[in-house]
Amino acid sequence: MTGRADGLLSKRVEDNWLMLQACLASAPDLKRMPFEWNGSLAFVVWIDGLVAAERIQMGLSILRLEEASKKSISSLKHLRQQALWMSMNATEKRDDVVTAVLGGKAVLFQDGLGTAFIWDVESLPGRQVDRAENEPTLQGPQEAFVENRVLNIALLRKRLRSPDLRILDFTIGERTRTTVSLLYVEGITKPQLIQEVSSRLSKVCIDGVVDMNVVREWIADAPRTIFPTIEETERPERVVSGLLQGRVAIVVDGTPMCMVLPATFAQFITSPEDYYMHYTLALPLRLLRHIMFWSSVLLPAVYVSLLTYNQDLVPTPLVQKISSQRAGIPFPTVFEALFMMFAFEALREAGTRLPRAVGQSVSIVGTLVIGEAAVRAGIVSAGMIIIVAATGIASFTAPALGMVQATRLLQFLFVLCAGVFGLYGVAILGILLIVHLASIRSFGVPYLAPVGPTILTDWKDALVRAPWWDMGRRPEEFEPVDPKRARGRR
Amino acid sequence: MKRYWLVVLVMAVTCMVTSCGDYSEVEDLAVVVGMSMDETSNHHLRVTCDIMRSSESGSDSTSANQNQDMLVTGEGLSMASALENIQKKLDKRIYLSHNTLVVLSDKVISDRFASMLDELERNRELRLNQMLVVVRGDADQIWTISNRSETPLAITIRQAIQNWEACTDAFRAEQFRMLRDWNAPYGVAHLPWLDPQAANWVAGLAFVDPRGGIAWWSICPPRDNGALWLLGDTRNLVQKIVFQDPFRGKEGQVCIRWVHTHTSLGFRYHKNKLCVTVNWWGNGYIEAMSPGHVADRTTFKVLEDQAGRDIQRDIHQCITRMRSADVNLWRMSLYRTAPQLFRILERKDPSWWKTCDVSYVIHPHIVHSGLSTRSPG
Repeated sequence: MTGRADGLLSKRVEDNWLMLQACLASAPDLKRMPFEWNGSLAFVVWIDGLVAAERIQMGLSILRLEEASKKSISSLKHLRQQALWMSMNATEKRDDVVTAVLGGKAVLFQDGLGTAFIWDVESLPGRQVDRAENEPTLQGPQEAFVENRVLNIALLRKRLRSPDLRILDFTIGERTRTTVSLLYVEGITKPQLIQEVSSRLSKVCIDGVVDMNVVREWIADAPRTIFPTIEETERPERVVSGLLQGRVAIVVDGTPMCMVLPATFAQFITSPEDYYMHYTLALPLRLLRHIMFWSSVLLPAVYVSLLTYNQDLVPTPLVQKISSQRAGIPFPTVFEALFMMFAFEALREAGTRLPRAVGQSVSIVGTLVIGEAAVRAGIVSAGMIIIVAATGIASFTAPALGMVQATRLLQFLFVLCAGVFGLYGVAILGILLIVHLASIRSFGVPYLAPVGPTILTDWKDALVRAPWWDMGRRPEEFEPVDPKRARGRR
Repeated sequence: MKRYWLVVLVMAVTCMVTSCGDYSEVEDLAVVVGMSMDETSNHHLRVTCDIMRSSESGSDSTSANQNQDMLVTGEGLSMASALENIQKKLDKRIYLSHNTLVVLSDKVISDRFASMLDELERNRELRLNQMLVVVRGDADQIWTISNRSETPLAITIRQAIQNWEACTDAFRAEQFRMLRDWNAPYGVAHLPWLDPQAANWVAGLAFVDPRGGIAWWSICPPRDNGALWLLGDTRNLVQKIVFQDPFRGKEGQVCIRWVHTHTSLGFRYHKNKLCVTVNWWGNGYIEAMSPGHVADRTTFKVLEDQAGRDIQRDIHQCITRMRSADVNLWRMSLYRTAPQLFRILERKDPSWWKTCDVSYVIHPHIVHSGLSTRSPG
């Protein structure tokens, strides 16, 4: 690297330019604009595409006008007077300059000065705030996070106009230098939680953070479990709701999602829409989602058990119908189930990866044509198609994608167990699953809270959704500093 | 760590080896929905199974009479050996868990009822809610009934018994779940008596003594409830009463719906003589009365008296017929109340139950329809 050995900038602009070129291996998109200022040579350096060029032009014009009217003052003093207005920061360090240029800033050098001015004219390419695609709701706000961290924090600030909202920035990734922001509300969030999350974030040691998942896997509890222990959302209002519960949020630059933690099992069954509709309507919907979640895990396994071990539990007329359907099917029920589930997963995966228009066609072809043909060909029974389809529909009722993916894996495990041990095996695996869930912690909070351990007051917003006027206290499971959400009662 | 994996391996292998024992695909099962049992001339048991037919099931060694049924017959010294012989004729495993109907011939009941019940009760696949019915003559004649429904014949017959208009509520009583309370309170089973020639296939009730006696009783409610009064508990029995109407001063008729009736037995041993008391109470209301009739207190009293007399007469007739048909109505109850006395009586005179005195305590309680369910019994 060209330049001084102490890591400071040179007083010659040409040296600084050469240093930058050397650092970025003469990148073709590294641009400079030389101009004469206050009687000496000056450079503005930036990377093409990351800055707003018109803002640089306008800024330079203003500087020249100022220079013409105040010939006597020095460039440094002049610039420092203008620094606030022009959002400039002075630095003498070479690394700061390199980072700033790569981060979409312009840098101003002047001959004879060992100081560079980092100029915030950033205009990073990215999309504007759009509708939530992955967590759609019929009611309530529709905005979603984008890949720009600053914009994401602004979306949160728009909803949480409290001076107590605190933001701690971390730079993670030796090469990507990604900014990760930790947000919490002072006076609500437990200080130990903030300390713990900060500590875990500081320990992340990796060369690049290309997505939020990198950070999540580094800091999450129970790293080998298939269940998500950190809530991810693309909806700002959901994050605000989490912050007001005494939890913390993590925004990662470049990711259109936000992490909220700690997270319990019940929160993954909760939909944002529950809070946008009357509680009398939200209550049955939430119960339905709980039932559907367990159905999606257990339905194929119970069906396999009933058909292979526990036929006495099936109503007699149904036995006759299923027996007729199964006659001539060459595979045992367990393999038939696994085959159908595998096919369903393949269709789902194909539908996700393919462009939207083609994906729809694949889904229709897969479900209608292949399903019908498979039944007619005697490869699978109609009953099995109904069960697998019902399971698929049930699994989609879980609002959190992480939980949906967990159920997809669990289905296979349960079916295998049902095929070998029958209902007995399903029961045993169910018990093991509950034991596993009970053993998980998310930043010190038991995963099955408020059911296990039982915190009855928190049931108001876990299994059911109580009216807002009855939820005067924040969830105790997160041990908020200020437990009261409402000062009075209705 | 090595030991941990070894333990896991041993457990996994053990589970794998010990599982799958009951594994059986549903289409590989011959689902039996009904059975009939007859005794052959050489004292063998002939069992005919009504197997539910799926679209592809079929066997050379079987005969099929209807679309939904496949009848397979086998003989043996016991039910188990007869079923084994049936199994040999089938390419699918016999599955008894869905059996809903067991048809017994009167000969089977006379000769081997107790052992038959024992076998039915101990079979791990058979459910306890299957219905036992009796046929006079050969039991397998029941399969000659023409089945026009889409369900197998055994299920059709069972539904017909349960829906028999005349006795629907009485027949739905728990007592007809055969092995649960089959002997309460008398120690005899009350089984539906089937006749394939009858209009509804149900001819009446058969009171079956475990030692072989059978008393047949045709029932035609509301004229003749007969043996139904003897059941431990009944619901919604209808009785037609002819009585001397104090309001009009002439004979009148009413229908009483007995919401709930209950019969129990009491024993008194006095001066070396056993006296049985039949306690009956019923709670009912007037269902149908002549138009313009005012039922006052006197009318209710007259009605209750007349109903009591009719019921006592029916019960008395029933007991007399049971005795003559060798059906011991007192055995189980006396054994439970006074086991020592029971043993003494059995030792002294095995026919004690035919000669003991019977007295009756009848408590009919009739109210207006709206009050019937709230009146104390």
